[in-house]
Order: sequence, then C-alpha cells, then structure tokens
Amino acid sequence: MKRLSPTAYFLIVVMMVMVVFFVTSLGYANIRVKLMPLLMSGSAIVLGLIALIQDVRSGSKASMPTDEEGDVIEDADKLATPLSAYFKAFGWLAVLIAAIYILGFAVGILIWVPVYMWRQGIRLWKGVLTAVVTVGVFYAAFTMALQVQIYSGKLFEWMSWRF
Amino acid sequence: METIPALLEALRNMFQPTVFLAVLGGTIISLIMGVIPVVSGALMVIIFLPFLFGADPIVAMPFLCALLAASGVGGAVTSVLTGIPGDNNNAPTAIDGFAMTRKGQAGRALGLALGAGILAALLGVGISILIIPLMAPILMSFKTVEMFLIIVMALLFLSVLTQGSRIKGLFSAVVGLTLACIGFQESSAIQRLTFGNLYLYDGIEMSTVLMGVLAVPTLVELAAEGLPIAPLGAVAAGKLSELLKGMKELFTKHLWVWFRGTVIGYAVGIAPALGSATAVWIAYAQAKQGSKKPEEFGQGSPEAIVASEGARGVCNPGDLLTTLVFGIPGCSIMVVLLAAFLMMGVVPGPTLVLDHTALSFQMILTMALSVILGAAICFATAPLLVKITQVPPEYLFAVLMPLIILGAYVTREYSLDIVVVGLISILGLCIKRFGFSAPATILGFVMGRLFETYLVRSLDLRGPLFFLSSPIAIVLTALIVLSVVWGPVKSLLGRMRGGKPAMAGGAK
Repeated sequence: MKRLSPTAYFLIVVMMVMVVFFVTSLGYANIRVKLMPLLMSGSAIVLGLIALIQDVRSGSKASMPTDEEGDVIEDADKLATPLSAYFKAFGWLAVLIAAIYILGFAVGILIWVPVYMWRQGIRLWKGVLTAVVTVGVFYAAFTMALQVQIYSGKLFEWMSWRF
Repeated sequence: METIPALLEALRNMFQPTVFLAVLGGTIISLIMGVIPVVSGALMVIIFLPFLFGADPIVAMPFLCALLAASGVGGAVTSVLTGIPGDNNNAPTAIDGFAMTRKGQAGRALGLALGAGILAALLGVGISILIIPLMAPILMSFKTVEMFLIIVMALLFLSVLTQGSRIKGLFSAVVGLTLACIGFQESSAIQRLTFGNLYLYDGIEMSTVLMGVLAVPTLVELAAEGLPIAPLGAVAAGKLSELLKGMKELFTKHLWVWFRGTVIGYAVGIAPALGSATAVWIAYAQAKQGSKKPEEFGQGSPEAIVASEGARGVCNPGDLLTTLVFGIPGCSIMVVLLAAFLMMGVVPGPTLVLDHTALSFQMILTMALSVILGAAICFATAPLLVKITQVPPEYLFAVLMPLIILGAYVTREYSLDIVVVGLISILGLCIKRFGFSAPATILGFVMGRLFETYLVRSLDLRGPLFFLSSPIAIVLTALIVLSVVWGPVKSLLGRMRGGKPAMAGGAK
C-alpha cells in the first residue's frame, strides 16, 4: 500500500471537518440558512476528493512544488527547509500564545522574548532590552495614546477575582 | 453647483493652512502606523474617530481620507520589505514584492510599487472628477444578480493563482467561504456551525484569519529558515537610485500591464460592495493570464506588483466616489469611513454630491494629495526603510509575532482570538507548505457573507436561472464559464498539437 503524503493527510483532515459541517447543516430547517454551508462544505468535499485522488495517483511527487505546467521541480526537495524546522518555529509561536493567554501581553512578552532570543543564540541582555522596548511601545501606542485596554491574562483575571 | 467652480473651490479649501496640515498630519501618521504590518487603514480610522468628535468636518474629513489613502503607500512598503501585508489590498504585493526583496531587489520592488500606486491614484482621482456627473445610470444597472456573478468571477479568477493545480485553488477558496458561514446568519439571525460555542456566535474575525493565513506562516517560514529577509546586497538595492530605476522600469516595460490593472481596479472600485481587496486579486490574476512569464508570479514578478498596486491605487478614489454618491461602501475600509462621516453629521448620498459638490471633490482630491505626499516621504526615507531587511529573523520573529497576536486581539478584544489565531495559523502553514492558495482562502472568507446574501436574494428575485436574467448577467455568466473551461480546453489543444501534457506527472 502506498504511503500517504503530508498533503493527503491535510486534505483528509479538512474534508473530515467539512463532512461535520455538511451533516450539521443538513439539520437546519430553513433552506435559506442551510443553502450556503451545504453548498460550500459539499463543494469542499468534492474538490478535496479530486485533489486527494490526484495526490495519491502522483505518489511521492504529489507534495513537491510544481511549475506552471504541473511538472515536479526535483531540485526543490533538496533546497526546501526541513519540516522539523517549521515545527520548531511553530512550537515557539504556540508557547507565545500560551504565555500571552495565561499571563497577558505585558508579562507574556517580557518572559517569552528574552527566552526565545537567548535560545536562538542572542545575548540575554539584548533579549531583555528587546522585550522591554516592545512592551513599552505597545503600552505607549495602545494603552496611553489609543486608550485600548491590553489583555492582562487569565491568571491575573483569576487573581483579581479570587483576591 | 457647476463642476468647474466646485473643483476650484475644492482646491482652494484643500490648500487652506489648517486643512493642508490635517492632510499632512494624516499622511505622516498613516505612513508611520501603516508600516506596522497589522495596522490597516480601517483600523486607523477607528482608532482616530474618538479624537475627531466635535471637529470641523472640513478638517476632519480630509484627515480621515489622508489616513486611508496613505495607509496603502505605507502598506506597500511593509509588504515589500517584510512580506506581511500592511492591509488586505497589499497582499499580492507582499507575495511578489517580498520575493523580490529576498533576491536583493528591494529598491526595485519599492520603486515599482510606489510608482504604480501614485500614478494609479492620480489617474483614479482624475477619472472620478470627470465621471461624477455620468456614473449614476451605469452603477444602477448592477443589481443583485450581477453583483453575485462578479463575486463568483473574482473567486474563479483567483484559482489560477495556485501554482500547478486549479483544484487546489478552488478548494482553498471554498474553505474560506465555508469558514465565513460560521456564526450568525445576517438575514435570519440564526447561528450556524457554532456547535453551541458562544465565541463562534460572532463568527471568526477577519483580522484573525488574515494574520493566521498570511502573516504567521510568513514569519514562521523566516524563523524556520533562519536567514535574514534579504541578502546583504539588499541595503544597496534600497538606494534612491534603485527606486528610481524601479519607477523607470514601470514606464519602459510594464506600462501596459499597469494600465490593465488600473482599468480593472477602477471598474471594481466603483462597483458597490466589492472593494480594493477584490480588485487587486482580479488584476493580479489577469496580469498572470496575460503574462509571457506567468511562472514568475508568486516568485517575485514585477508585473504582479505593477498590476496589483495599480489596481489598489486607482481603486480607492473609485470606491470613495461610490460611497459618496450612493452611500454604498465598496469595502470594509469605506464602511468605517461611511460610519465616520455619519458620526460627523455628513450624510453621503446623491444629495451630498448635488448640494456639497465642492466637499465631494475636496475629499477625492485629498486622496491624491495624500498619496503624493506619502510617496515623497517614502522615497526620501526608503534607504532607511530598506535596512529593515537586514534585521536578523530572530528579532523580527520576537517583535512581530506578539504584534500580530495583538493585532488579532485589539479588533474586538476577545481573549479567545489569541488562541484562534494560533489554530488558523496551522491551516495557513499547511496551505503555504502544501501548495494551496492562501489568497483564495482569504478572498473566500472576505466575500463569504456578500456571496451568500447576493445568492439568496438572486434566487428569491429571479429563480434558479437568475444568471440568465439580464444581458449583463448573461455576459458575466459567459465569462465565468469561459474561465472554467479555458484551462482544460487549452491543455487539450496543447496535447492535440503534440505538446507535453498539462497534468502533473512529468519531472524536470
């Protein structure tokens, strides 16, 4: 059996979500309400299936970059950045999102920026300085000048409610 | 009021010291904030609205117009230098402009983008002034059915943007359209696809999708590669001489592509409820279809920059004209501007143009002045701006990523938007990595609500054969069918002539 490419896995996941949307939409009583989600999720399933079949039929070359005529560019595989590097970078983003969601923008950025930069080989003081300047600019621009309340984080919300 | 006296009065008003200072101030603020990737023209207008309550409309309205007009200029600079679109309508420039920056051609790309934008804005203003008295009957012929077909056409054209596979392009657009269905349906107020989750009742926020699908993948890719945005030669490429070379190239090589882009941009701009975000992609797709080097699109094509920036520059005056004449905003930016006008006691519509012709002209002329001032400032400071490209990716990732998350949050201040931008980033990364079309997903999402509204209304008013209900509709339907069958027919003809097959499978 052929091994599925990452593109195929992506298509399968999206199609599964679209199937859920399609089935859910069938339950709406009014045709005006369900027309658009049915039409779109149905089209996504059909188009996804066609793309999946094309992907499986073209085998391992399916996920490779292609030129305008649809031909695979062989050298691109050697030049491409490894997937693990993307996972690593996305992991840092996930940590930042978690830090901001729990600790808020000010504290989250003050912790995340120096740690991230230090792990990338930049001196700690430069990371701390970057973090302080970033938070300072955000505070001056949004809180002071524009009167936008910057999110303070779930932890502080909980603490202010608890104490 | 007569056209010529009104125009002269508008010019006189525009160069009054207070008004001119307001325009200059709006331009400078817009450039500074517009260079920040997440701050769009609409966001700037929203941000400054509270400061303008009680201000004289003669000063406040040009200030707002200057904010909007110069944001496109600042956005073009950001798009070229960082690959993050300053606004929705800079997205094509972000793709090809940034690709040129990475090749060390930042100055050339900036020269092309700024030149195309300024010229187009001036052309748009000129045409708007000329056609104010003539446009009503033309616009009135575009009703629900025609508007729906124009949206379908825009989405189909976008599918050609996907390298290698139209199916992937269409799939991307349909995913965007499906995401737009989440939340309350406007006409019935019934919530859909929310699964009882309160957060989803308001739908997914536009800025969240824009950040997740376009901005985050760009930065993640930069961080993953660990290389500076551009090679070391990029700073030299940002010299004024390089910018001027880029501008010269616009006149010597790409004037026809630019002109076609502006024609599309203006036509879409004056059509109600489509806006510049649609115009730039139609112009981009059209330029690609007509190009001798379509393979360069997405990889740093000067034609792509010229066509999309031309469409963007010319679109705003047209869009503003429709907003002023009919009170129908062409895009989200104009919706905000319309709201701002109403809050200041100025009611757009035919009466505004008839009773206050000079004020209408003044607002359109302000856009031209602001773009000229903005471009002059950008040209003067470009060598400094280009230095952004030499910043190590670690610094960019560390500073811009929190800003992107903040940008997704401030629009409606929902804490869950912070998490959702991360989830949408996964989708965006997969779209980018596996050769799907991020612009098609975004356009599908942006146009989703309108698509549905026009579709339902068309069915109600004209029945299932609504697409054959008027001569304009028939022409548009024919164009849609042609764009669908053209690709397969072209490849079939190629095969019959003994050319290589168009489907994937061969290898270089």
